[in-house]
Amino acid sequence: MTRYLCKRLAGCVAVFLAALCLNFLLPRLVPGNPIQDLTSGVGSVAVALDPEAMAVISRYYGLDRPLLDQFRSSLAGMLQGDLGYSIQYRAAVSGLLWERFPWTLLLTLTSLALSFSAALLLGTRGGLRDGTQWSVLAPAVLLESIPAFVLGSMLLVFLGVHAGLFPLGGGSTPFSALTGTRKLLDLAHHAALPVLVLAASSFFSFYLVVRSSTAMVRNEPYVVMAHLKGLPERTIRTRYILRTALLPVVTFFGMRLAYSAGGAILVEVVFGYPGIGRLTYEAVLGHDYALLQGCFLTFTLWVLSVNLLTDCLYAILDPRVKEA
Amino acid sequence: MLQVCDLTLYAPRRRITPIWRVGLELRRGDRTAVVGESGGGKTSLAWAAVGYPVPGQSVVEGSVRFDGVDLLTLSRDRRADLYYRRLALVPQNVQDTFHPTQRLWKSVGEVLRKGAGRRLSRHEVLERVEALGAPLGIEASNWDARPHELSGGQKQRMGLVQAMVNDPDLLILDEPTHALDELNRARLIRFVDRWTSERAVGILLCTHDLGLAGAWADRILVLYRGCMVEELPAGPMVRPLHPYTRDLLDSAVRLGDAPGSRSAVRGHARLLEGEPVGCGYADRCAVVGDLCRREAPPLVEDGRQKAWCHRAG
Amino acid sequence: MGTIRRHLEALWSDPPGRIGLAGLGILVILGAVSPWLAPHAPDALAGPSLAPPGRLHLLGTNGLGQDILSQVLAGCRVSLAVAVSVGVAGTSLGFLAGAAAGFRPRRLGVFIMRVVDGLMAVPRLPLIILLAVFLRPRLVNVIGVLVFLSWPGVARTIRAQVLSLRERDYLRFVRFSGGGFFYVMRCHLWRELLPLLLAKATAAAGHAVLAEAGLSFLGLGDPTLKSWGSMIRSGLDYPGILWTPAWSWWLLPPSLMVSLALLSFTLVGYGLDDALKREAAG
Repeated sequence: MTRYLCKRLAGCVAVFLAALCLNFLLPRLVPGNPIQDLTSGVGSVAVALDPEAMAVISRYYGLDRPLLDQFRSSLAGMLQGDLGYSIQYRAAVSGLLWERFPWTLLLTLTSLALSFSAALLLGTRGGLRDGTQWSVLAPAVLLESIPAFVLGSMLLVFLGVHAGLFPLGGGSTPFSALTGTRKLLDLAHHAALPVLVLAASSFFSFYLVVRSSTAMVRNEPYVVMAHLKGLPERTIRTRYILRTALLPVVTFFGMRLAYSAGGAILVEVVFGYPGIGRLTYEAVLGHDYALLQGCFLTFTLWVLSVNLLTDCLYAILDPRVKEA
Repeated sequence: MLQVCDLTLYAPRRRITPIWRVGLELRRGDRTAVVGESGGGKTSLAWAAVGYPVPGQSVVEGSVRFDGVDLLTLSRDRRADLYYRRLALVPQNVQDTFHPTQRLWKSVGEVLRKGAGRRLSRHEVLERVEALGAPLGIEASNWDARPHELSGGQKQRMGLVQAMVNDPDLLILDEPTHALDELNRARLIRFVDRWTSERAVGILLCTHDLGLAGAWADRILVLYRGCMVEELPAGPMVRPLHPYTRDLLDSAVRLGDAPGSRSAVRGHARLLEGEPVGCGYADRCAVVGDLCRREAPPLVEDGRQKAWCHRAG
Repeated sequence: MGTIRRHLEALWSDPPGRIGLAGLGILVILGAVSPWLAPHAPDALAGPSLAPPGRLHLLGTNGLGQDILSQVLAGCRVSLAVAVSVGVAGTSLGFLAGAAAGFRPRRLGVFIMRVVDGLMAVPRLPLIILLAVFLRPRLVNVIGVLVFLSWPGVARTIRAQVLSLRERDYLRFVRFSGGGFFYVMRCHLWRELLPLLLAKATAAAGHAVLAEAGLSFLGLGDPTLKSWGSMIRSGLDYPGILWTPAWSWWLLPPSLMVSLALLSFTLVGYGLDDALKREAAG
C-alpha cells in the first residue's frame, strides 16, 4: 500500500515539475519581445522603447540572465509561496489565488455533490430495472448537449433578468455587511444558478456510469448467491450491489472532480462569479502572465491532488488492487 | 421431505426446455444422486428444487414441495427465511459466489446470523466454522482471507461449510467436487458421509461423476436431455435397465484400463427444444427401434428400479 | 468498409442513433453549402442593426447590421472544420501512438504511456486557454491545440485494446509464425479496432466543437471567423441586449445550433457505444 502511494506520488511530482517547466517556458517561447508585451497592455498601441530603456527593464525583470538561472530563481520563489506579481490587480499572485480559490471550490463541490446524488438515486434505480429509462435519459441528454455557458446565459436571461429571481452575477451582494445566516443565504442565492448549470452539465455522464455499473453487477454470481442465501433485500441492495457497483463510479467521480475546476471557468465568466476561473479569464484579457501562470499551476495542483486521493480511496475500498 | 412432481422448466430466450416432467422424492436421511452429461438438466433441477429457478428459466408446470409447502408459489420473503437455514443449495460456481471484497468469515457470518437471530462476532463465527472446516483441510487463516486470495478448491470447500453451518434438513450439492483434486475429493466425501450419518439430512447430489455418485449415494436418478430415463439404487451389483445408463457406465474410465478399451457414447446431446417427441435418446441409442422415435417411452419397473424405455432390460 | 456500413445501419436502426445521424447530416450539408446558401457575406453590413427576422433577413440582423443567418451558416462551417480535423487527426495520432505502445509494450510503450499520463493529468480547459493566449489566435492553432489534447485519450484506449487483442490465442500464433506489425494490423486488428476508433473520433469531435465554442465565447478564438461561440459572446456584450427582444434572434440561433451539434455527436457516440457493447456480448 505504501509502495503504491510512493509510486503515485513520484508520478505526480514528475508531472507537476513538467507543468512548472511548461509554465516557465511558454511565455519565453512566444515570438516577440516579452518586454513589448509587458509594456503594451491590452492588445493596443505598441510602445516604442529605445534600447536603453529596454536594457533597464530587462535587468529589472531579470530577463537578461541565462534561462536556467531564471528558472531556478522562479522555482525558489515558488517554493516560498511567491508566485509573482499581478500587474492588473497590483497584488501578489499567491494572495489573489488564495482568496479566489474557495469560491471555485464552493461551486464545483456543491454542483458535483448535487449531480452525483441525483445520479446515484436515479442510476441505481434504473440499473436495477430492465429496459431503458427514457424519461430520465432524454432530458439528461438534452441538458448535457447545451454547453454550460449557453445554459448559463439562458438561465441568466430568463430567471435573472426577466423574472428577477436571481442576482445577475457576483458571489455575494457587494457592499452589504451581512452576517451569519443571512450571509449564508446571500451566498447561496448567488451560487444557485451557477451550481445548477454545472450540475446539469455533469449529470448525464454520471447517470450513465452508475446505471451501467449497477446493471452489470446485478447479474454477478455473488449477487445471485446473496439471493440464494436468503439475505434480506436491503442487505443485497446495499452491501452487495451498491458496494461493488460504486467502485468504478468512484474513479469516475474523482476524474470529474479533478477536471471540474477547469470546467467551471466558462460558468464563472458568464455569471461573473469571483472564482479562479474568472480570474484566469481576466488574466488572459489583461495579458497578466504572472497571474495566468499562477492560475494554471493551481489547476494542475488541484488535478494532481484529486487524482492521487481518488487512487488512494479506490485502493482502500477495493482490496483487490495490488499493483498500479 | 422434498417432493418434486412433474417439474417442467422452459427458457424462453434460448428456447430450450431444460427439464421435462421430472419428479423425485427425498426423505430425511436419503442420499440421492442426479447424474447425466452436461446440459442434461442437473443444474436446472438443483436450482428449481429450492424454488429458485435459474434466472432466465421459468416454471411451466409442476410443483416442488418441501415439508408439504410448495416452494415455487411461496413468497420471496418466506422462501428467503428457509434458505440456508432449513435447506441449502451449494451451486456449481460456488467459488465465484462470495462477496468480492468481504472476508470469508463475514460471508458465512451472514448465514449464521439468520440462524441465530442476531449478528455474531468474528470469534463466534470462527468457532463454528473452524470445527466444520478442519476435516476438509481448511485452515483457520483461510477464513480471514478475501476471495481473491484463495484458490478455487479452497473456496469450494468453504462454500460447503457455509451451507452446513446452520444444520439444514436438506442439502443440494451441484458438482461439489469438480474443482478438487483427488485427495480433497476423498476428504470431502468422507466428511459429508460422517456429517450426514450424525444427522437425518437429505442430500441431493448433482454430478457427472459416476464414481462419486455410485460410491456415495443410495439412489441414482439418471437424466438425459432434461428427461428422467432411469432411477436405480446404487451399489456394486447394479444392472441398468436403460441403454443410456448402460452406455454411461461402460464409458467411465478407471485407472488401470488399457487405452481404447472404453467405448464412448456415440454422438452429442443436443438441448431439448419444446416437447420431446418419442425417446430423447433415440438418435444415439445402440438398440434403438422404430417405436422409440415415435412414442414416448413407458415406465418399466423392476423391483426397486425404474426406467423409461421401450427396450428396457 | 463493410464494418463501417454495418455500424451505420446499426446506428440508424436505433432511434437515438437515427436522430444523431440526422443531426450530423444536417450539419455537414449546411456547412458544405454555406458559402452558396448564405444570402450575404457573414461580415457584410447587410442591413439595419437589430432588425427582427423578416423577408430580407431570415434570422434578423445583429447589432452591427450583419445578417444572422449567414453568420450561423459560417459558424456551421467553422464547427464542421474543427470537428472533422480534430476527430480525424486526433484519432489517427492516438491510434498510431496507442498501437505502437501496444505492440512494443516494454520500452517504447512505457515511454509513450508516460507522456500520455502526463498530458492527461494536466487540466484541459486551462491548458487550452493558456496555449490559446500564447499562440496567435488563428483557427489552425485552435485546431492544433485541440488535437494535441485529444490524442492521449485515444492512445490510452487503443493501447489497452491492442494489448488485450494481442494476447488472444490466434494472434499469439500469428506472432509466433512471424507476422509483422503491418500484417497483423491489416488482416486482424483493423476490423476489431475500427468501431472503437469511430466511437472515439465521434467523442473527440464533439468535445472539440464544445471547446472551440467555449474558446470563441471567451474571445480567444479566431477573430476573423464567425463562430457560434463568438456570436453568443458579441450578443451578450452588446449593451442592454437582454432588455430588448433582439436577444431572441441574435442569441438563440447560435445557441440552438451548438446544442444541436453536440446532441448529435453525443447520440451518435452513444449509439456506437451500444453497438460496440452488443457486438462484444455476441
